[in-house]
Amino acid sequence: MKNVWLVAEREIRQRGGSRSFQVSSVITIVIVLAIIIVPAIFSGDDEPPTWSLLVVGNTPEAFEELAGQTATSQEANLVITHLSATDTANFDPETDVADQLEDHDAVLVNPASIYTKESTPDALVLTVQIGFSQAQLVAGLTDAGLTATQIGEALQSEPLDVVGEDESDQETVQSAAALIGVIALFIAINSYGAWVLSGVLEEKSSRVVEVVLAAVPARSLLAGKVIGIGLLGLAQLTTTAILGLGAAMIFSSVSVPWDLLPAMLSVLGWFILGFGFYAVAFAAAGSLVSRQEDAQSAVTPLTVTLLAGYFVSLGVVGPNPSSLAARIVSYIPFTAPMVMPARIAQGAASPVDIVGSVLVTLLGAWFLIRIAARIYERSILRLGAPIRIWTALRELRN
Amino acid sequence: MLELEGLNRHFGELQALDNLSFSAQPGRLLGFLGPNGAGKTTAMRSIFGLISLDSGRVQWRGKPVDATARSSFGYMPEQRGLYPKMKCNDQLIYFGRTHGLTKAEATLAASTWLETFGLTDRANDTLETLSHGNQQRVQLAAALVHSPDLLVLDEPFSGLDPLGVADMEEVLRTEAARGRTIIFSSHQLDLVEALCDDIVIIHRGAKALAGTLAELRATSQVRRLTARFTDPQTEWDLSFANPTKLKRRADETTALVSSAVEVGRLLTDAQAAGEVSSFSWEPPSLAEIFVEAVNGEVDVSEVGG
Repeated sequence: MKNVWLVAEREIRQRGGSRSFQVSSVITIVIVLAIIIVPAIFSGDDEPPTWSLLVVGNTPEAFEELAGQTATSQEANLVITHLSATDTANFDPETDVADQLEDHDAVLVNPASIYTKESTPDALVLTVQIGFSQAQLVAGLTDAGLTATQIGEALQSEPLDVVGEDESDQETVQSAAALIGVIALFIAINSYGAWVLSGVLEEKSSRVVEVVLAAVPARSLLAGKVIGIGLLGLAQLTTTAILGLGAAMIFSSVSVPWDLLPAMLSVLGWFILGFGFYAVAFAAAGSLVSRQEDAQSAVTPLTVTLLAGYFVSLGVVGPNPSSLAARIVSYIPFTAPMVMPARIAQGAASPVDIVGSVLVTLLGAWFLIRIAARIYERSILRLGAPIRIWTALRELRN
Repeated sequence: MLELEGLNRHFGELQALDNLSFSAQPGRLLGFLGPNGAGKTTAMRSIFGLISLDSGRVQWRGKPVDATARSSFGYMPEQRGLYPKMKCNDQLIYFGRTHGLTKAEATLAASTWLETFGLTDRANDTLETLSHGNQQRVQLAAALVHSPDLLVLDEPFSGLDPLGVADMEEVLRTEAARGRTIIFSSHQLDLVEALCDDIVIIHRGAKALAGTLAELRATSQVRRLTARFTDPQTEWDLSFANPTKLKRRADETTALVSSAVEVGRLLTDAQAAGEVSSFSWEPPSLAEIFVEAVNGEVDVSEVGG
């Protein structure tokens, strides 16, 4: 047991102290911060939008005032421009609207047509509609002989107080968290798995493994390597997550990160499970080959499985976290680590599913570790041509 | 004392170890010899549990070898290797600690050994930046850093320049004098002859010969015969003695003859052929014993010495 920690400590010191680790950590953090900060800077969330409306022809008298009020109530500025009388006389909607839409968000042409373009905000159209119909109402009431005061009273209305759970917002945040979690897990398991692979290969190709194994049992070496690299990966992942969350709180509208905390914790928890599961498999694959050139083909079955889990998680589970398919892949140890964080973040995983999938994955990991450790023990001292996985498995039975 | 008892191990059709038994004593250097593929590396790996045995056992101080015992063993495998990107000092500290030293003990031992090999100024350089000879020194230091009671070295002299060979000889003598049990394999039989107290020769996984050098020479079935004649033209017909490796060069005749042939008869016969200026009849060299032990399947020129 003491040797396990010695091996883990060496991995952390050597790898953590290496230039490549430091550079990759900095790059990861910079990318994550950039993803969060850059859109926040450019979106300028607090500025009220300004809508530009061109009016061709006459509008009811009170239109400008009423439309302006409606826009204000939606926290927008409405700028209304009138086309000059000459231009209005020559205005042909068929040909001229397109030109005007290059300078304005919408063009109102009498009688009562509003021309829009793709980027025209729906709220602007609605605002013009409301302003226009209210202005017509005012004109009608004036014709009926009501005084301005009476009309004002008649039109006086309290806007509805919108009371809601803000549920759609919550759901967006949750599914975004699920998406980010799955991507982060996939990248983390893949890249830290690759570290395990290269660590095993380095020891094998430099022949140092025979010196190490003379004092440290193969299982301790395997366990120490996986634990050391796992801790290092966990530290990198947590640091990135905390910095990212901090940046999100400072620069963008994520005001209550505590909502995301359970999702983030579940990502970390599933990282430990998923990494433990895949890392020993990566190590066993690495022990089967002696040269870097053969490494890629040795881990292909693993990377394909991981990739499949990733796509299933994004494509099937993401949109339908409660579907039967999503439940099934939650109970397969190879896919559970990719699938469960997404379901948990979206609140679609029942406690039974969570406990069940954790148990299944643990059980799967236990089996895999036993097999992988034995393959590793038997293959680690064999140099030369790659050992085929089926050969290695068949030999285990003898 | 290290005892290997009835070790058997096969790899497919190949019997790598065939009921191999021998023992190594504290304070003595044991030369472990055999042709390529005889099973030397497999036998050495079995001491460290690096291969599983079909049968047989390895005992250290009368008990089966366990993890505790192994942490007092030092090993230099034939396939040399340390961590290329790790600093020499860190490397030695790490191997010291995996053998049970505390961090402080390992740090002290690492600097002591680096000093012994004149590498103090390279302590913080990564291994890959060192010359081949210096890497070999660090490798040996890694095997010695925890002051092992048993030292197993697989071909420690291979790839060393004459200076490295001299260093290695010095270290082996010193460590043996400290009471360590030392086993090493080598093809350089002249070195083995000069260094070793005990010798074990194996062939096809089985023990062919074992004993002290003096014993091996005394019990050898052949004798080296050298005769010089005053007249270089003298033709001495040795066929009655069934000589092997018969060579005639200038005035000198050399051959290996069976120890059963009486030396008196040889001398009389030589004198009958011509005037003898010198005559010697002595036990064979280690190289000749080795060739004899492996049934002449390799030639002396192949094993060196």
